[in-house]
Amino acid sequence: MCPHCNYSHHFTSLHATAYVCPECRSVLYKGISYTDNKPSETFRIEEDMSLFRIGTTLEYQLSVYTFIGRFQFFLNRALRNKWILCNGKNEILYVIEQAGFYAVCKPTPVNLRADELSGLSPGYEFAIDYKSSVFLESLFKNTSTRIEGEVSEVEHHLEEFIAIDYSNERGDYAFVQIFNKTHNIMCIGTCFGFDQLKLNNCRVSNE
Amino acid sequence: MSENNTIKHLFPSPGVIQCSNCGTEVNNTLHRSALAYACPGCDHYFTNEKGFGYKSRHSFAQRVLPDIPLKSRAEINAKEYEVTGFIKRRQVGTQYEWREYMLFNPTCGFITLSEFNGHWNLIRPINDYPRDIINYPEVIQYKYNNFQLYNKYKSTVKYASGEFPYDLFLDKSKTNVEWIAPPFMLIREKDNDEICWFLAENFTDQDLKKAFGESLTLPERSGVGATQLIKLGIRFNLIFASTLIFIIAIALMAFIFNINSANTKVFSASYSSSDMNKEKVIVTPPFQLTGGKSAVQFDVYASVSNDWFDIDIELINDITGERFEVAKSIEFYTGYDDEGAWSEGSRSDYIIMSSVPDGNYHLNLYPQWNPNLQAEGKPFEIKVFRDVTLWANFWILFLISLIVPSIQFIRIKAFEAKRWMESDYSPTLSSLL
Repeated sequence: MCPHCNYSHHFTSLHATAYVCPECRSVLYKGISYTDNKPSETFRIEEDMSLFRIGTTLEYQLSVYTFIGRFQFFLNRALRNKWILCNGKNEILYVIEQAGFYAVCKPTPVNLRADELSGLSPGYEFAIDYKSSVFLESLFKNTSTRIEGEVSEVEHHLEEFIAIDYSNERGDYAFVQIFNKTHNIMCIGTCFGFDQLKLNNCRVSNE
Repeated sequence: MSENNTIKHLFPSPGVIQCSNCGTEVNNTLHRSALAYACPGCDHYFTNEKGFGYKSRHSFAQRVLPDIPLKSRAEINAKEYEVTGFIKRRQVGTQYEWREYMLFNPTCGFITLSEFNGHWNLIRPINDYPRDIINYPEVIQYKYNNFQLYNKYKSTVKYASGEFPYDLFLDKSKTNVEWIAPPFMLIREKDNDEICWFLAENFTDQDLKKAFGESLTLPERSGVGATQLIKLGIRFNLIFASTLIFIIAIALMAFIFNINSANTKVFSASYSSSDMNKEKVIVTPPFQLTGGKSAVQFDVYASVSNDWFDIDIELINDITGERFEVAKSIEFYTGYDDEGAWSEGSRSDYIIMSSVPDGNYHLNLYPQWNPNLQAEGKPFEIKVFRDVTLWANFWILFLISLIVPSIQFIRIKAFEAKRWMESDYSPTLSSLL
């Protein structure tokens, strides 16, 4: 229960470490006594015409995932959503969404070296596994982040960070967020068209 | 079952942006996805400051009215799009200007309609572009097509109106490169932080009116567009291959006819002026033509030297009286000059009569020698062959078969010359055919 507005919520994901109260926008961290939660707020999610919402489901690789949270990034070149999905086995999926672009990704451990992060430019080749490479397409700076639902690593996402898109001709995709030279997050997946995604409970556009 | 295909992807109710400069209220279709917008009331350009509001960045000096009004809706490839933004751009260092219209669909994102000199292209972002392209090669291959380098440039924004998902003035180092394989064009945009590839396709006036409605008024066309297709534009390779196959076919048929031709000598004789009667006619003995209606060939030889010889030949059917007439001139001249011996003409020639029926025939020959020289008395020979090959038919068909490829070649050459006038990278014509 939110200590600020008494809104009740139960975490659905074991991986989520925080939850944004939809009523008062307070960020509530898991494992911290509610009474010790500092009254931090996030700014409201802005209308960006996304057809997804908390509660939308995606059938992917024979498993049904539910949209449980999102980061809305105001990048210097675009507005982008990073949706967090979870299935019944507590497996996490990300859906990167930006103006008709959709990528379904899984979190991937990464330990990019400092020299790999400096001097990056479009066309840079990055091996995602022993047989596939992706190429750097875009470098963004994140200027502002909005949050809703259940998320993790909130504290990093509220900082400014560099976001990098990688992809290749086969539709492989990687999204890297560089918070500082010692901490970064990567997810790897595949690009899809909207009609290729098996979705339910989408938002009707004029809602 | 997925509900994607059953969702009516309606456009959301637009928000409202009130211009902080002039107070004009603008319908905001893109909502906060509009990281920039240009006010149609005061022509000021605003960018979104970290999602907290719009700040004026630029003011356009001269208003430009778009040919397709903002907020127009269009159906393209079974998807509904709305025109959310209009941009007029100029190529840096030139006077070339073009117009772009940004179209938006909630599930497909953005596409662009670009117009230059009345020629339109529909431009979509692509992800399957070749990653190994470095710099700007003359030819790149994409989806089994060879794209020729057409243009490389930087551009500036001269005017904008409406909403945009990115800051139009963000990076002035952006370089565009275009390769064409009409009706398609590949476009690469690259700056220090981003590389994007697009596939453009020629969009005709008919396509535009089908998408936006018949009432759309379009700018006049001039020149040839970069992706424009020639009318009756059958590819020259196809025409060349078809013509070659046709020529081989008729040559084969002529060869078969030649093999099957009897080519039988039915008459042969030598005559001189002393053989002429009072009417100056030489009447030959009769001979038979058999084997069915076919061609007859007359070979004539006259031993002239620096002289000429004419002969009129009448082939007369002894039973029916039917007459066939031909004439032949023979000339032969020789001499010496600074370059050595020369000669002109020939002492022998032939003429063919086609479709002569069977029967008993004789010839009436009317020879003429040069009266100024002592040519009389010099003999001439005549031979008659039955069932010969009519090679003239083959050559006529051959020349006719060259008409279409010749016309198409000239048309394509003129058309491509106009297309490449706008480019600094004109390839050879052979690489375009």
